[in-house]
Amino acid sequence: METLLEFDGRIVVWLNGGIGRFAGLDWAVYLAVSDYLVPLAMCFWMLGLWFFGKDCQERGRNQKAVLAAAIALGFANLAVLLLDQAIFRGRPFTRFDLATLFYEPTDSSFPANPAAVAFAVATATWLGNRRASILLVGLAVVWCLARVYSGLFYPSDILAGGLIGAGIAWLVTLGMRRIEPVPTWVLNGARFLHLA
Amino acid sequence: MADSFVPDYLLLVFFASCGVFQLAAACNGLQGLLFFKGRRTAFIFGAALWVAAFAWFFLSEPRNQPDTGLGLTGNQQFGFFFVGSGAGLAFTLLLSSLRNLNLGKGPYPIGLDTLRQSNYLRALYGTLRPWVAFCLDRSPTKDKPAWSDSSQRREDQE
Repeated sequence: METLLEFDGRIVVWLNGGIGRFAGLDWAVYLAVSDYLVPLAMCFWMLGLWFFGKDCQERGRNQKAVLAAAIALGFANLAVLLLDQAIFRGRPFTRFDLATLFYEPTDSSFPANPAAVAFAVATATWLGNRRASILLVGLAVVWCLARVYSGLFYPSDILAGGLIGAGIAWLVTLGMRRIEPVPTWVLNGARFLHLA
Repeated sequence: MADSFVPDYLLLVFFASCGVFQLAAACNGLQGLLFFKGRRTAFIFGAALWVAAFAWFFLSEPRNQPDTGLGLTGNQQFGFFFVGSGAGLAFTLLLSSLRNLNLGKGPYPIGLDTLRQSNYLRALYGTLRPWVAFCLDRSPTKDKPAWSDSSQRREDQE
């Protein structure tokens, strides 16, 4: 276990060594690592997906994926919040001498909240519309890589967060299929108001 | 500089969501949601609005700030996103209805598809009118209006 954690740390130190070498890459990572850019891009993609579909049935499937993603996002956030109360792992920048492109958070590093949230949204969408989820998976990967590069998380934090998010999204999608026709009623209500 | 990013965040979400609604409406031929007559113009306008909103937000000041300072917590972001995009939707529905005032002939199919041939307020009025008449007991037939048209019901059953 100790060796694994050591290896985890070495990856962060190796990646973080790239900061300061390429100004363009630093600027891109500074944007990508932000609390706002990737989450908002994902939310707007979901907002757009609500309207997409060749016919009513395809649009309905997309809209159910959007609903599942929104619910999964909330549960993933809650799961990480609860785990943070039980487990505390210091951030990589507190253990190693790292350069950062971000402010220094004080909460637990394990599991990574951005990974949980991003992969919850990407997985819920993937289970409903695989083509539409490609961009979301890409955004999730970029966000997580930027966070490790900036010395904010260990790779294992990202892995755990991603697994939690994906698992919750799968459970939420399964749950929504089980409670059918409730999601269809919700969509029918929105259709009645010409909003779905 | 403001005490927090909340106003800036709300403005970003409002304008970017208006852009997304224009993009989505242009791609799906929802004429009743467009601010412009041409779909291509609406598409370019939507994309430009989205990019401009993001560029303004990120280039106007440093945004990597902790939520104990100027930044927003995850829950705040979630809540303000709903507020901002809801306001963007309301604004889009209202402005597009005014811009396409003469667009719309009954009958109005249920769902977004009706916005291909009608503006939003006209479609909503067309859908709600029989229900209002029924609730006020002024319906000429006294029959309960249908929740959806027959083609929609068939799709739902499938």
